[in-house]
Amino acid sequence: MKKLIFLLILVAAIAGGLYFFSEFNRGLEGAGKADHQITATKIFEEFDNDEKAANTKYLDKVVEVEGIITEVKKNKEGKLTVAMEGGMLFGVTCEMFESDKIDQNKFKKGQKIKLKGVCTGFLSDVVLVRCVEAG
Amino acid sequence: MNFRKYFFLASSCFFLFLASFNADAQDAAEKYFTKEGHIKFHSETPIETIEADNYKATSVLDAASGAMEFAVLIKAFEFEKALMQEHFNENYMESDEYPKSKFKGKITNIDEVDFAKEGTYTVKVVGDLTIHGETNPVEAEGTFEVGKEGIQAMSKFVVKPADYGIKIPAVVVENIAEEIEITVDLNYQPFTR
Repeated sequence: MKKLIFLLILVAAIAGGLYFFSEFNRGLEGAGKADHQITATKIFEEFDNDEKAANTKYLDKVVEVEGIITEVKKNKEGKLTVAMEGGMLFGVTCEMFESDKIDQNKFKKGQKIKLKGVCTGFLSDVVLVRCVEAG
Repeated sequence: MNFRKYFFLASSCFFLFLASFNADAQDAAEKYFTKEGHIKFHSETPIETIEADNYKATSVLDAASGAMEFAVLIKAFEFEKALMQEHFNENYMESDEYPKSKFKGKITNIDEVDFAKEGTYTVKVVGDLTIHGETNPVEAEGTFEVGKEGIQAMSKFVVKPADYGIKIPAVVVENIAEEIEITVDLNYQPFTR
């Protein structure tokens, strides 16, 4: 009986240790299941009209956005950004997750696209990070 | 004779008019802009090195006056480890309440930069930096690399979390540096509407 209890504690300790270790080393992941589905023009409008309310609604949430590509850009660190039309000058800008694994030519200006990403707020554009293509 | 005089007057007026037009055109190209600025911070103690990158900083520079502004979304800082990023946002920066960090300032020696001539210029920046809802004056040196592909702007400076009301719990006080190094690296493009 004593042996069994000891064994149980040992197993629990190992499991706990493994969990902590993996949790501690957990890397960043691409956006998961979408919390909101919306068009680029609509989400831009919401942020443009009332940033505070939009922040409450969208910050840290996974948002699936549909829109027209206005620009595809790769910076010198290799991060790929896809911008979508929102308002007159600005829109929704999406920083792609694991940019190095994406073929940049896949995205074309003028093309309609659906991406999902984590909303980090409004900086003249609505900013989404860790974006992946939505089905 | 009279005709000549009038002709001279009229033509000089015309040239003045042209010249003023030209000056206007130049003014319009004197704003520079980026939406993909890279801001990195680096904290180093004997126990741990913590770094995070943000590739989504926006900045506007007025080449005529030297006025410049930065804005960055705290939640767009990316760490190597997800847990660090969560702690950074929730415990230290409280980014739900303070989603943005801003800098508003001026390049004091803007006259020394010739935007029409390729080369590297050293610039001095002073202004107000707002992090975590608290504003402090900052001073930094940086470089402008004027090239064909816009202006590459770089700067490195130090901030103290304590100055911005960021509380570091005693348990991790050894892990987080008292002075955090911030690197700014961005490519300004002429701003056209």
